[in-house]
Amino acid sequence: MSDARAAMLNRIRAALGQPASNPSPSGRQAAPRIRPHWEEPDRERFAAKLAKAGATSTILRTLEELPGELDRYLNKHGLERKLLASVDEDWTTLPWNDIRIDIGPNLGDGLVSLTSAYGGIAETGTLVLLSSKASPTTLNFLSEYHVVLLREKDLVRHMEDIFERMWKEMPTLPRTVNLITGPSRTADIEQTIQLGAHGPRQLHVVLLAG
Amino acid sequence: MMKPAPIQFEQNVRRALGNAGLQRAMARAKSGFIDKRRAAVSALPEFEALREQAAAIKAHTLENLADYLEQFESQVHATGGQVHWARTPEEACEAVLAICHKAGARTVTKGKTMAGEEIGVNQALSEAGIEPVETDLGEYIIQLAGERPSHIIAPAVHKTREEVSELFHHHHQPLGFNDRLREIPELVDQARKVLRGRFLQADVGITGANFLVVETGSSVIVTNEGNGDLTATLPRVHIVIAGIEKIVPTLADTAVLLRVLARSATGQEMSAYTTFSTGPRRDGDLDGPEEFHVVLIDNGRIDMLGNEFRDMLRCIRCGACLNHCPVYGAIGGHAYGSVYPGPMGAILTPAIAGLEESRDLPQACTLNGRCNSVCPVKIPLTSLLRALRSRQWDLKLVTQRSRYLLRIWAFVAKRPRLYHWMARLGIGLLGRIARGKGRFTALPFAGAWTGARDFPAPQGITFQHAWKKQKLP
Ligand code: SF4
Repeated sequence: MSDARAAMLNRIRAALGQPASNPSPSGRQAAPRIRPHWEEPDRERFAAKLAKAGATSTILRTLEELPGELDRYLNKHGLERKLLASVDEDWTTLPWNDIRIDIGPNLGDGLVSLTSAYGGIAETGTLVLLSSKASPTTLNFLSEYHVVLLREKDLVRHMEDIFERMWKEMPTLPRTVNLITGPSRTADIEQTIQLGAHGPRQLHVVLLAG
Repeated sequence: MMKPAPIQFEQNVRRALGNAGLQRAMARAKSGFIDKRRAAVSALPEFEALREQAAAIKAHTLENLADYLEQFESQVHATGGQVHWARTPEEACEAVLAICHKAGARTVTKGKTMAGEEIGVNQALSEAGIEPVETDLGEYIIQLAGERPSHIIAPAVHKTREEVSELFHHHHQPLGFNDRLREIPELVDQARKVLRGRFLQADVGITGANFLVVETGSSVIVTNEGNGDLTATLPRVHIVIAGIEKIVPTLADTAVLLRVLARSATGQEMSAYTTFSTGPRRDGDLDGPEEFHVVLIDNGRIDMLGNEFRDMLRCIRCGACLNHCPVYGAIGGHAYGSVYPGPMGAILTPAIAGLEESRDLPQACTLNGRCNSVCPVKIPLTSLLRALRSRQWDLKLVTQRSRYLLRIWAFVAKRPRLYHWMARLGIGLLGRIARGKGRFTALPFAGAWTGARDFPAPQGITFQHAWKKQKLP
């Protein structure tokens, strides 16, 4: 295999007419980036794009309203009163009453999961979720209903803004960065869009104002 | 392994045009893709400027590919992953099998990977006694049918719901699903149930990559179903198979490419899931694979880097050129007999498999140019096809008949007005042939095809006359 490595690199340099040594890359000047522009407030844009992608959303004033919101959500969909959740210091201490909260990954049997987003992107109505000790990736994919808490302060305009924030806050990317835009879907049979192909059938975003 | 079937191309075309189910499926798919893309593009005033930038990013990356590959490799190492280099499909399969054997793998789940198709990884796994399970719904359908993808992003686009219903009934009955399902939601649901078990059971997960990001050492996949994520997350080992041209320098560059990719492919602004996988799971993580491998494949790409086909390596596999191609729309992907169909396939296949093996593919084009105008990285597809044709000419790979046609084609190509008139006529004829009522075998199709595409009225011969002369024996 190391033969293959050297051979490939040499042939690439030959094809490009570059010396076989290792010159430092040309250091492309970061061209001014074109980013989509819009007029409406980011929060409005975000909610509209979420809806377009087939997700539902609601706005809460305080975190204390979260158990009530989940209570409504579980009732509305006729679901058992239990959640599989990632760790979020802010919510474990809330009064969940009769809703049972289990913390941990989804091993395949969790129906509803609750996670908190690292950020949201107004441009496309996208949620950004990072894997960590506190936040296993399976919660984002194996559950049928996925409820995500997003704090409004973490809502950015463009995708690049999230990347810049990650660069500032962490030395390397976590194992998994999920950009999620709406529930799972497929159009593989006759181009007909069907939600809930392999991942969540429903995505519900709780935006915490302020 | 890639096995183009050039000899059968003409037959394939006839069969495709006479296949009523295929014609129905293709007609439905085509307008869907075109309308959705158009809506998404017109909703973004910056789209043209983004296309320009996307093309520039890819071109720059290719110009510095060796350096970027080395940097990518060291980033993957820094985050705990491994990189494998493969010159050929054989070397790529060897690398995959070695990893699987070491992991003691019995089942491998697969996200959609065209590079995997290209190297024939499923066959290699099966021969080694390891079961590959396709998990993208479209890929799963064609795996059950024992076929290959007919479209690079919608592999089962040629199948009708009745055919899927039949396939599921046949294959899922032994698993205890006795009712025959006919509605799409039920079919999707049943596949979800069947595949869920397979996801949880797999030892290794193989995905492709839409991008490999140099500055972070990440592999990026863009999907809608979530199957790619389950494939990359649940098994102990995650293997990424990717061509060397998937490299992108930075996350900011990736953002630009993502903006044009989903819009061009499915007309979405973002696909449901865009996922960056970087290395294996970290200390303390509660899920995610313990090993992360990237297999980098050459398979003809380095040659393209050094010749006039370098532009083709900008391709981000969005499928727009297929969706907008009248020839692809008329015959579907299988008739091309190659892993990559449509305009991009007609250029990539000869580069990968050799011109001799795929001599008809560059001819399968009306040179109408719609592919060029929709390509999100501005690949001049028709110019590249022309270049391929002239190469074939030089190598004397053209048959007596196509040689004659090419000569005439060259005559017309030098006369733009005549040429444009012919190109328009070409599309019309193709459409008329495709709309005929199953009487295609009676038509001199391959001749009609080339005739329709580039047949001029050369001096002294009327079109009708020349047409008749082109009839197949
Ligand atoms: S050639 Fe262009 S349009 Fe065709 S698949 Fe590649 S990127 Fe898309």
